[in-house]
Amino acid sequence: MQKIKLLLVDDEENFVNTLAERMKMRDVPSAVVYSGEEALQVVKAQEPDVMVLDLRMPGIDGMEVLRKVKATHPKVQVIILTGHGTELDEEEARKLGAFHYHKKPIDIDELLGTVKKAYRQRIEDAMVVAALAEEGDFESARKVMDEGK
Amino acid sequence: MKQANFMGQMASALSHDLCNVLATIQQAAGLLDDYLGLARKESLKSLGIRPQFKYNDKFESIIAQIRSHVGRGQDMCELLSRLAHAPDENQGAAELGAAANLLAGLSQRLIKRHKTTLELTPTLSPVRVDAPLIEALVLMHRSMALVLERGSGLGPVRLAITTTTAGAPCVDVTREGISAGEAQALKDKLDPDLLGPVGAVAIEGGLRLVFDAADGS
Repeated sequence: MQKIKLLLVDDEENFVNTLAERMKMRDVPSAVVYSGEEALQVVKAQEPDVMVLDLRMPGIDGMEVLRKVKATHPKVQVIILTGHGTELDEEEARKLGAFHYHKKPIDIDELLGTVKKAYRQRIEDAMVVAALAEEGDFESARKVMDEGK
Repeated sequence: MKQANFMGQMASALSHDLCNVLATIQQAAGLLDDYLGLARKESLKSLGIRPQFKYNDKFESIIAQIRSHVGRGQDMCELLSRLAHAPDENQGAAELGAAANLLAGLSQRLIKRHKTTLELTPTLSPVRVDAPLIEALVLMHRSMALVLERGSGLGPVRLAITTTTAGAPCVDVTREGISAGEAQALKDKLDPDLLGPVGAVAIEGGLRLVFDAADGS
């Protein structure tokens, strides 16, 4: 079975490394980066299926990363995981296309559940695109691809 | 207000950093738990040749303690974050129910110090007033502190959102056992500069803060 390509993005190194170790124990290995800039480089080089993204980071913050990723790689499902989180942040993140919005601290199994749902959504979208393309409805297929839904 | 904005920004930044610290502690405790689980599995698989980790139960108990306190810290961070954003939320249009809820959360230590409890009457619908959230909080807190100073041996402090007979939204801060005369003395201790356009009335049990309804309410 194909494993989920998961990217974890957070400037809190201890936190994100521990998260990665626990995800690996649950059979979901992940790549880890500590900045928005590194995240964009990894997305460009090896498009992940799902990204777990902190909002407040030095340099390019999470909201800007989300905006850029959804513009260039809309199929990547982005889950926000933040210690800051206001309702306005959540609203903006969802408008930009975030799959889900979590606040820290979070239970690992709850986060893993969201990661798996996000991955399933990505697979379903790909199947919808394939089915539409097979029917010749390329416009609708393109729409699904661009909206990343 | 500039000072309040400054305090808010500092508190917001601290709240964010604290949340990150708690999240790191929580995941580290979780990782310990994961390794305990692996050790238990290996012991079971070995059919008893590899004995269970001697201090398994002790570690589990400590991990549970850590998780409990992380949860407690998380609640505090949430309150701190809401307080931090109070100066910039809906300038001039505080929602009294939300303000009372936030104050109830922030005042737990104060209430505990006076060896009493706080009862909050929930509101059925939002009550918006023509006052910034931070000012409503300061007034309600000051009133509660005055009511608490009245002395020990009285009942719980009560916060209730209600309306005057003329329909003005108000907050009653009361405690059973405070007479009308004592309430008047408490009202006289309220700083008029602090009150601003908000009215204060002595009532049986304590104080009533009378606000103007927000436009459109």
